[in-house]
Amino acid sequence: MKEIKLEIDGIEVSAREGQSVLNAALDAGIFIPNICSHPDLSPQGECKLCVVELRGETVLSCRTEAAEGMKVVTKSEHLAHLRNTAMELMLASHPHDCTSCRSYLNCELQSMMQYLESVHARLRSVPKKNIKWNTNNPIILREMERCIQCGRCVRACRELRDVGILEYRVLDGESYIGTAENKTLTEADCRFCGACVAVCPTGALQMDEETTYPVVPCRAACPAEVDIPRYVRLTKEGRYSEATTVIREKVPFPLALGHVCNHVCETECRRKELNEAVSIREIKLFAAQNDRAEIWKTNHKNKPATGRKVAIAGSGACGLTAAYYLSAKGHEVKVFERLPVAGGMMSTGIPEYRLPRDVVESEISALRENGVEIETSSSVESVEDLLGKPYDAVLLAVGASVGKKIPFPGADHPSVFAALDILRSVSLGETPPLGKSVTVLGGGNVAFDAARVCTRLGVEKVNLVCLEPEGAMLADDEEIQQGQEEGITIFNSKSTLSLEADGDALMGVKVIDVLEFSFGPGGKLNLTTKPGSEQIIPSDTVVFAVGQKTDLSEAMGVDLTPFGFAAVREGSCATSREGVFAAGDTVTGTRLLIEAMAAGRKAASEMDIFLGGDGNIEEILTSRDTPEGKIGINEGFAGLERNPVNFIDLDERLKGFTGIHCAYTADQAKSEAERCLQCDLRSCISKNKTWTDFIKQ
Amino acid sequence: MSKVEADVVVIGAGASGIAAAVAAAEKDAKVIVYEKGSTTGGAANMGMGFFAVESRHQKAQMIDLTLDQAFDFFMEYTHWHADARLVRKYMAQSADTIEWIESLGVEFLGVYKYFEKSFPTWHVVKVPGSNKPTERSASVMFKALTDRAVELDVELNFQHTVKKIQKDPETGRITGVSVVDEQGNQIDCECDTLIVAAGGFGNNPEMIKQMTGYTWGEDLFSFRIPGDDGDGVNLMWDAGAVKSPVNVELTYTTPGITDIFKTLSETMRQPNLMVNLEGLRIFNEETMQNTTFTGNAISRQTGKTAFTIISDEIIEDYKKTGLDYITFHHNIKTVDKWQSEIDAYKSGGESETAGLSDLHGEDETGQVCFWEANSLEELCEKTGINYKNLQATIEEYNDCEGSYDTLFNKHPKYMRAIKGKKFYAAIHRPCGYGTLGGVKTNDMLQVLDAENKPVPGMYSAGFDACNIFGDSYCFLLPGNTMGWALNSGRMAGYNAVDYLDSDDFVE
Ligand SMILES: Cc1cc2nc3c(=O)[nH]c(=O)nc-3n(C[C@H](O)[C@H](O)[C@H](O)COP(=O)(O)OP(=O)(O)OC[C@H]3O[C@@H](n4cnc5c(N)ncnc54)[C@H](O)[C@@H]3O)c2cc1C
Ligand code: SF4
Ligand code: SF4
Ligand code: SF4
Repeated sequence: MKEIKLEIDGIEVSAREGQSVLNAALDAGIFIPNICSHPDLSPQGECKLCVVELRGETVLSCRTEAAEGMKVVTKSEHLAHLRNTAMELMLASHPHDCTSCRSYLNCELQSMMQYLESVHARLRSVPKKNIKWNTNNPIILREMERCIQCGRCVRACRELRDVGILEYRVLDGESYIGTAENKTLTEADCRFCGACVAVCPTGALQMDEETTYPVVPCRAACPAEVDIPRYVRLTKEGRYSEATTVIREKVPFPLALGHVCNHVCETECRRKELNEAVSIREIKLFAAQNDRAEIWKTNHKNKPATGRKVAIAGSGACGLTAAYYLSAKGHEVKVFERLPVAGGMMSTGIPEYRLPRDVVESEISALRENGVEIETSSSVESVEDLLGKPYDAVLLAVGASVGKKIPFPGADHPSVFAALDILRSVSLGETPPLGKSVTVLGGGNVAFDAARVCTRLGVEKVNLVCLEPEGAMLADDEEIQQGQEEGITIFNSKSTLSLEADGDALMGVKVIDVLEFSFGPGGKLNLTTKPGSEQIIPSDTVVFAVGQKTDLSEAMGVDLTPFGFAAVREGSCATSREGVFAAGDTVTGTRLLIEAMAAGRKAASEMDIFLGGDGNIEEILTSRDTPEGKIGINEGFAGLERNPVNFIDLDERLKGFTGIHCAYTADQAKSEAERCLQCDLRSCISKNKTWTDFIKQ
Repeated sequence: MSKVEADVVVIGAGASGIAAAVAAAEKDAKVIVYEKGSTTGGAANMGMGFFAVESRHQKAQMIDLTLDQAFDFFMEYTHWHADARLVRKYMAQSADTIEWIESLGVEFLGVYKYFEKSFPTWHVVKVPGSNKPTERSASVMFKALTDRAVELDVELNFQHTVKKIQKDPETGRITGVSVVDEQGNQIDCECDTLIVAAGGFGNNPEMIKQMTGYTWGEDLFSFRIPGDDGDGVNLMWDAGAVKSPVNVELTYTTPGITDIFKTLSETMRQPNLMVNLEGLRIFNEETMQNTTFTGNAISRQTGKTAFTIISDEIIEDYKKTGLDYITFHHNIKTVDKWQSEIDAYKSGGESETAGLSDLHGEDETGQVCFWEANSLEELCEKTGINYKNLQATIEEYNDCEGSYDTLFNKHPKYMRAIKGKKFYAAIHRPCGYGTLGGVKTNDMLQVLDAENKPVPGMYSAGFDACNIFGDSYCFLLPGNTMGWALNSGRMAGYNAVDYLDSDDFVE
């Protein structure tokens, strides 16, 4: 492209052919006031602030093309006067009070008032009349009394998005920004992409959330920061392998997550302000199941060997994720697993009907192919046995594998188990000695896992007892609903008093009605019960599902917290022992797979630094093409409904341990992905610089 | 992660922060400022002027209020709850601060009172080319301070949030701050002194609840300046500062009206009848101009609410004479726009908050705060005021029309009877500009720990360190919050550098 030389305020500046004087100046670090122009939009020449002098005449620098040899003056008394008049015209109908505006301190108009020392109209103030239109929209707030009619939003909607639903309108001789026929944004088929909000220089357009919101809420909510909108978009375009690769850039278990991730991202999805969240997990499962090309395998390269050796205790989500990234950084990694199978809770905790074992095996074998060595049936008893022998660093990722039991009277009976014992033994192909009727104590997801496994093992009567009332249980609604369909009886708002035995045989669980409960400091339970409401729930087996702890002891050689978890330095994975790190459930107690994986990533990065690396474990495995911003109109967009998750029929479900959850069809996946608001498109919009951006650093 | 170094780090570039930065840089310190927003001036951009006593403007205007008088008044007002040494230093520096600001090319319009019974201490900044006092005029001064900071090589970082204060675990000295920029990159900045001026926590309802007992959106409708989230006090508390009692700079407001419908709002803030939900008068309405006192009185009532009630005859009166109270910053003199504003307010549909819907909270959307009725009974039905009591109150009140107010001794000229064909009521709720205090400082603005000892190297200024008002903000010496902010910032800036040059500081 041809380069042009011109002079601005006596400084020689180069410009691209066709560039405006305004942009040439801004690029060269010379600030010219402006407010209706924006680097990504066509010029409009509405605000008149960008006036400059050229050959003794005043022109709008946004509409004047830079030309060879041009001499431009941007500051003079005359220009200051013109700009002040322009400002005052804008301010005449603007509220005098900024204090309740969300854009306060991040407002281009406010900053322009400071810069031009023009804070208020000397003119009579002219309050706007047409501010009531279209103020009741989801997601996008319109406080149109703050609008200065710069038209940036109109141009953004049309030029950046090809949606074009915003326009200048006139009523009672007053112009305002609205939609055709003053339709609400929903009726006008707004895509709720937020481009108009991103470019608005005032507080007129805002996102309907607290002022500091993440631009891409799902991605910010994901513990591993998986680039959700990107893989959702790629799935929509049928580029499944690339979609899976985007997930793989952050976590090595897309399929397992596709089955059982608790999707905190969906809780934050902005779409739920319109109707329901995008079914992100189902899109992930579909993409991962349809990754034929496996691009990631070609693009992933382990770094050259560093000669450093890492031992990892525990082959769960955390340990294996760390193993993968550490070997990618060129370290030699060996994972020790106490049990005969690798995978931690993915193989021996989460029941097979939710997470098929061949899925986990296939993902683990991909890690093995990539250089991660796993030794099963090999327990780590002390870091002493590993550190320096010959390992340079050790990661404790042994999880929280001991199910807690509460010492109620009778809890030491041989027919009382912890949920994890049952889940593990079933996973290892054993048959736990259950009776005819089982009562599970606990109301979380683990309780349902245990209860539903019992049902599948042929137990005749399965009960579940929990403190929480109906509607406030900790387990996911889907679990509760399916558990009930499968015949589990739920006793809500009950506290256990004792386990009753008759001679050797367990008879049942004595419970009492709970009126109110709360947890005090240190997890202490405060309980109000209803006197005289005691009852016995008959059962010959009892299963505790009241939380998990680690089985770590002093012998491991690192400091522990008072609750028995590995103690780490704040904000770090480093333990009390130099060279020994800990992460995942071992540190936090049972959380989520995705959190354990995120913790594994963090540990890998820290350990890499410890081993002399740069700690950067980020991978780019697929090309980063800029997403298409011109999304156009999609009729009825706001109303597009969420595709339900596919489960197999109830009688099929009860037959055994086969997976109950089927991926979307290609059509479902596409239409679900279509629902995404593509919040990330906003990140591609430039920021219009204001005077404070030109302060030299 | 990148690393930088400074002598003095300033958190926040609002009124106190930018003043502190300039002051420290004037003493040749290397100063780095971290500001969350994208411009300087913070909450003070909305302001118009600030407090000083014995300034050259006061002398020129023949205002004879002396430093001693102002000091004595202030200490009496606060019942000596305030740190007298600090108040004295602040007031003693205030006149010079006016000249300090003028040396940057900023002009003042003159010195003003805020309302009739207040002292003339409010130095209002002039907007170039205009001789009218205008809202936001102080922002002109922040442009000048910013330019001055740049000239003195202060490094200004916008959209940078400080996440943690670093201290030496052994000596307890400040060693630096961890900062995150707009893109989320982490920066570690080493420094020897730190001035925290992050603007209080007016935008943090949880902290407001915890520290003041008000529930924002329910019984407090204070301004929420985005960014004033309490970062500063939280950082200081985490780094060993002791918590100090916090006050709201209390005023009152009619949600959804005060900011937008100025004639409506100002007319309903005239010294006419004010009652509580029980229909009883609560104070001498002449005091309404002292917004803190009014806020205090309203806060005592059921639901922390009060109502002003007027009638069409009063409006007719105002059409002839103009309003009784004209506030300097809103400058509404007549009721010309009375009807058109009522129409605009109502056209929003009474169910929807007019205008600034969201920032005033979800709870306010759907609230009606101004009512019209054809009878007092109807008005009571709409507002929930006790009708029987109100009838009695008005009877008694109307009896005193134009004469001695037997209950509260309000001036006869404000005793306008409530009678006519139409009645209007507006609800008033506690409001405020921001939170005052959070940490305790000594008279050097050094932040104190639980043992009343300075945390070495840590200073604070502005809202975060504003403990000088006792239980109520002092509107009687107007311009006091911005005055405090600029002067405490300026003192903190100088003191921080003096500390670095002193024997107390060991490298
Ligand atoms: C029943 C159940 C259901 C769950 N369901 C879900 C779900 O649906 N979705 C979800 O996101 N999360 C779920 N979670 C949580 C999730 O599984 C865990 O957060 C995650 O597995 C933790 O990973 P980790 O690597 O820290 O520990 P783990 O997965 O527990 O792995 C630790 C491994 O270390 C081994 N080990 C222990 N001690 C030693 C030693 N001394 N030497 C060598 N090896 C040792 C253990 O045998 C185990 O294999 C569930 C948890 C449970 C208990
Ligand atoms: S809403 Fe914002 S972007 Fe649109 S015209 Fe008004 S000020 Fe400009
Ligand atoms: S489509 Fe996007 S740019 Fe257009 S109005 Fe809707 S949110 Fe704004
Ligand atoms: S709409 Fe799309 S990008 Fe936005 S939060 Fe939901 S999934 Fe993420």
